[in-house]
Amino acid sequence: MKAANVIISAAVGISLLTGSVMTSANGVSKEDMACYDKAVSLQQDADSLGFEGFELSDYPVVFCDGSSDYVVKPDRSTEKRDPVFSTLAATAYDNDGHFEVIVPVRSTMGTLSMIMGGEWDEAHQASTIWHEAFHCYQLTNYRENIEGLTEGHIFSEDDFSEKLINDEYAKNTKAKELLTSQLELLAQSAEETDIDKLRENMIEYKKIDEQRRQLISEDAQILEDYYTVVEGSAYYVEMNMTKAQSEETFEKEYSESLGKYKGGSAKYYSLGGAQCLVLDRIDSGWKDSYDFSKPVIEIIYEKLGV
Amino acid sequence: MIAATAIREKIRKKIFIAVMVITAVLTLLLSTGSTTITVGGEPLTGFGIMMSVVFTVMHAVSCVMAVVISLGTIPAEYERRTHHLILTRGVSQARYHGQLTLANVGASLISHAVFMAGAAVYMISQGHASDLHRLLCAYVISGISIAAVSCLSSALSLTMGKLPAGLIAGTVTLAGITAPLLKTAQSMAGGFAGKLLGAALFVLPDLNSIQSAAAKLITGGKTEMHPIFTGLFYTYIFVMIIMIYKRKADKE
Repeated sequence: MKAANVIISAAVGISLLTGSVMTSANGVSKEDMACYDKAVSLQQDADSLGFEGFELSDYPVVFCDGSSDYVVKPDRSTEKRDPVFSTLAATAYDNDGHFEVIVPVRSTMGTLSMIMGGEWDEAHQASTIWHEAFHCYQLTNYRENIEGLTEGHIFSEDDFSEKLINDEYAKNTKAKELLTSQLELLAQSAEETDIDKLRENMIEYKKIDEQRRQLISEDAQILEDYYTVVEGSAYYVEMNMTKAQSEETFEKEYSESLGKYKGGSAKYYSLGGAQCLVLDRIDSGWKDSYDFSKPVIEIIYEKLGV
Repeated sequence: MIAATAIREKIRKKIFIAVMVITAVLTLLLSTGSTTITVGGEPLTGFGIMMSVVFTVMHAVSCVMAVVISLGTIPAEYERRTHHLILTRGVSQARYHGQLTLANVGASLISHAVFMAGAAVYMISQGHASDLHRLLCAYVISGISIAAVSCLSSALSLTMGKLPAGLIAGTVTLAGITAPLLKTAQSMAGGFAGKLLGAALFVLPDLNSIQSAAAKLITGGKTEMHPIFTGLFYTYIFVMIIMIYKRKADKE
């Protein structure tokens, strides 16, 4: 090649490379920022739930894509950092004593949902942010009580990642049947306006619960309580945040499946979430004093004298 | 001159015409509403969503077509010994290979234009004729992706045998089209597998991002410049390989 051609070729290459580098994502993507803004706009709806001091703006929100973390701070400033998790994660992360909401980037969730035959829009992402923000709230304000739920019991990572729960119900079809009945009762009761009928349902629920608990191990019972308290209440927040955005999505994706048995710990999300909805029917002010030290069902029993 | 002759030859090939017609018919069927695409059992009927789906399918098929069209041109010239006629007349290898690559890119873009005609029919049938200029812009942007695939296939067919060239070009194209799936897999895998996938995604051209940038133009969204620059940079790299690589004159 002639010298002039070499110079022109090099100039073109450098220009294109510079353009590529200059326009590469250095921060939060527009679609993730839109999800963050959507979540923030739901603060009033979160206030109306009644958990005292539960503010999304207390926690940074981190969007992770496996390669980098994109942090949105409460003042809306952003930064890119190395990922704290190398895999897909939606969780509350303890960053030197201050909790952060971690959710996958929306594009990843969108692809994952598409593979599973669903969709993942801004509303889904915003509700998930609130779910994880609620874990931050729980762990910031009630960590001791939450740790107390599993006190004296040592669980492996595998147990918490569903192995114990799956094994328990895989070998025990009677327990599975009973739990399904309980979920159905809770789903019905969440819609019940007649308090006497609701009380009858809860008497029946308690009877089945006592029967079922005799069929499962103590470890499984403790994990159930832990999940219904921690995840069930966060699921309740997620459901309400979804409902605030779209009644239709709430009906389709939460309400219709609330009374159905699910695999892994997902069944306890529904169980705990439905308990919160039932307690709302009895006394919507229960959240003023709830401290996450016991399952919501115990408060239901107390309130109804069951 | 070499490029123009090569393009005419490509367009005359029966297989090229047959594939174009079949794919154009499929595209029209897909885009004129006689079929319904569903995701999770739910019909996707809105113009914006349907247009994105149609455009994604057309882009993917165009990329595959670009590989098919571009892979055989340079090896065929050497197999037929046409190169002797050209190179002995003082035409440099760089110019010769460059012209053949230009023909590949041209033929691939013509093929892509046929698919876009299907999209144009769909737009008009849906009452969006006034947005056809957006489709033209989207064609130009997505053309970068098609050109990159064509140049990659040309470069590989110049530097190695047809089979490995086809395998590599096909794999890279497939990875580029399905980049979001691979990114999701990378996020879920973690560990060594995640790092390996991450490295592969860093090196391979993200054709899906170029397609997304183009699709945003159709639906009136604001497009991103990064995939466009990156696509052009990849094309530049492949063109440079073609221009610099010296093939042995007797190599078949």
